[in-house]
Amino acid sequence: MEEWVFPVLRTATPLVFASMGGLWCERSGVIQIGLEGFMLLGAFFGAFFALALKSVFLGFLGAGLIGAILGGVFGIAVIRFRANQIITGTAINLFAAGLTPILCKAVYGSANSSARVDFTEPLLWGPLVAAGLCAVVSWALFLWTPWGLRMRFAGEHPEALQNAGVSVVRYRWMGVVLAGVLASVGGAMLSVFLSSSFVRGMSAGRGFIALAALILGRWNPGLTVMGCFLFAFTDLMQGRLQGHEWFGIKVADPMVHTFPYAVTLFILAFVMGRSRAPKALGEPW
Amino acid sequence: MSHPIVEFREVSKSFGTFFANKNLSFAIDPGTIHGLIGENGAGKSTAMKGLFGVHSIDGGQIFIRGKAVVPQGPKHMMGLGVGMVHQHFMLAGSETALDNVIVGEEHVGLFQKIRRGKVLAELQALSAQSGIPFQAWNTRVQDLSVGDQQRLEILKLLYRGSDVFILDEPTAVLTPQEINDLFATLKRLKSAGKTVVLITHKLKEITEVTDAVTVLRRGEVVTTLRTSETNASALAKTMVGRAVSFTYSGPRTDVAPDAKVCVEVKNLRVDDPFDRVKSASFFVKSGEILGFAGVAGNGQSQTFKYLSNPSAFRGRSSGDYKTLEGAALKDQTHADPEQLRHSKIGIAPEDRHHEALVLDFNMNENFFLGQQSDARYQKYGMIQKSSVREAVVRAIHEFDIRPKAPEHPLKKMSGGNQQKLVMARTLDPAPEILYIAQPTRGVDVGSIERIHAEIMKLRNEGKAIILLSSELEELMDLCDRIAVFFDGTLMDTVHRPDFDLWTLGQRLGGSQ
Repeated sequence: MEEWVFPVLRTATPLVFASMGGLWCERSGVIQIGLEGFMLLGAFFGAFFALALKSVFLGFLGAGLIGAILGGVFGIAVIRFRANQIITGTAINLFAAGLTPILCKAVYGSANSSARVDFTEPLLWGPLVAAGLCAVVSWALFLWTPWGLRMRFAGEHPEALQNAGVSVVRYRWMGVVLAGVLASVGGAMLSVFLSSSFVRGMSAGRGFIALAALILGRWNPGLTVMGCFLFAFTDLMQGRLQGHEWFGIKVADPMVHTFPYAVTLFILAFVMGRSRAPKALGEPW
Repeated sequence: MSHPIVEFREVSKSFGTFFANKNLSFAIDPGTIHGLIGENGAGKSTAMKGLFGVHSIDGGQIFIRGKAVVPQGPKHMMGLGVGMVHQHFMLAGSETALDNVIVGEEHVGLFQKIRRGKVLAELQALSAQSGIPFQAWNTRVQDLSVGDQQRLEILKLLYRGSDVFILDEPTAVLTPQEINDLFATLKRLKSAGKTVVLITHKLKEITEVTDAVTVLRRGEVVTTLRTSETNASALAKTMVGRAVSFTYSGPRTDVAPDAKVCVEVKNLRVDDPFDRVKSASFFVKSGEILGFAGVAGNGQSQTFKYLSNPSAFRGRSSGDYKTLEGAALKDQTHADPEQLRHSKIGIAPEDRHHEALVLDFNMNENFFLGQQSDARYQKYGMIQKSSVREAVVRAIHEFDIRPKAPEHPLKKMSGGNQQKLVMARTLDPAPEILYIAQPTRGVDVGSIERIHAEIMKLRNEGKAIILLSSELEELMDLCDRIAVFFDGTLMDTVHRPDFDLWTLGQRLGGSQ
């Protein structure tokens, strides 16, 4: 229990934030392949603001703010100018991978890692509660409120929503900005909560794993969180399997590293068929 | 005398040089079922898009309950009590029927809990009170039958306070049983004092359920009548025939007495839930034009489709289909378009935008479509762009296609110029037999003459031509014989000396 539950919850925290961001964005009809980039930028700016302002909380807040701005940039491209959503998302990922080492070098003198966030006690419950709240609130909004219903219609049948007199564009804007904010906060969890400094490339595919959790969870908040737990568990397994001997054979660590990704591939390949994306996903409005 | 609830006065809308609506004037009385009938492309949907502000109108005025309005969109019209059931339902398949009604009209704050129970009770009461049955409120729309989805759309509009219900081709997707249910629903709406506008191209629906009917043709109102004062034959005539301002006056050679039969079809049957061919037998000789006439949905289009690609009807068609190749008739019942092309048959399909052209591509690319195995345009699997371009340049000059730029995308060209390109492609390489459908639909007046002259030239050169058109005048003008389709059956073939608008109209409506 103690050995698994708490670590799984911790590891799942960034994934929950990112996948909830992806959920709202994709439910509103915009493909969000840029979660990885938002997470990486969030990881840097989380550490940066926490160090600069000497407050972990302000670190998260700053990361969220940067995420909102970048989500806005993404929105201008894909909503205002109807750019291809997959390519724009990929651009966000490449941009983040290139920008963060430069900023890191400029601020901390090394492209590979930031200074350590060591002015405070290690965080315990705060981020876990925040992630839980994020999931529960998403679920409640999704199921019960006009706002959630409209978000769902924006991605499922935007024409019907427009006919009912609701602006599709407005709801899609909320979707992309939310994705930027939540994924960046999720990224900040990596640098400030799960470790205590920014490390180059530290998102390490978690944005894509959050996306996988979303698909696995059929774009449904409850199931998506379950997906996050599953992937957090495999990530943890991977760490604990390193150095293990299997029937007298020592598996090389790089092989073990592939475990979460292999599981992602496996599950998506076999579960994907039964999962159905929002109908208007990827169609510009 | 009360005001008409919806009135069009001199409403016009044009796209480029093409008038989609020209000086439409008609009025719809409250508490009636009003039919709006016309062939495809007659301007029915353009008129309704104008009414809903989907596009702005160029001229004229629209009145709702006697007040002039400038439509701003669906929400605006909903506010005035005018709702529309679109051909493609405005329903999200993955959401429940209930949520589809609620969205946009939640009656609670954006972040408050939706009172689904309360709305459900209201809807159940509304369903009972209006006599429009619906139970599956918690079922996802994708699991509902089409008839149920349509009822849901109507109840949605009712719930949102509609007085006027506009239904765009509502029966196109329904089974006969569902059509009966729909008509019952429409009559209930009427008895509840609501107004229904039924857009259709099916005569039977008009005579069965409407109180008044406005007939549109080529973007203009032909007439508005009380349904009780007309009948199917008279409507058929007004729908497809009315004096056009131009007729072909060029040469017309006599059909040679020893002209060979080029196309022979016997006892054709095609199964199809919506447009069935029960029985059609006909032939065409070289140097003559056989017209296919019929009100939409009576089998003439389906027969044309079969002729153009019998391989697509494998297993659901029977009968003989032979065409002249060399000196003998060849069986074509299994042929695909490619094989038909080898048999020197040129085909200009009915739906220019969906069956004939790719609008995002340019003239060269569209010209190449279907010619991919032609050795002139293709070598070792590579497109011979320069020879395609040469052919297009030739076509541009021969047919006076504008603009004179082969690299011009089709979507930026007028319907007339698009059709000319289709004709040019159909005639390359020169066919002996031609199937031409709706050659002048959506085409500006200037190009119509050009296209008619071209068809007549081909006829006089000795080609055998089948011409499908929803314009009776066009058929009467060009054809040597007209095959009349009714209820899936080729009823009769009328010879040129016997052409008469009135009697042909009656036959299209099913009278002998």
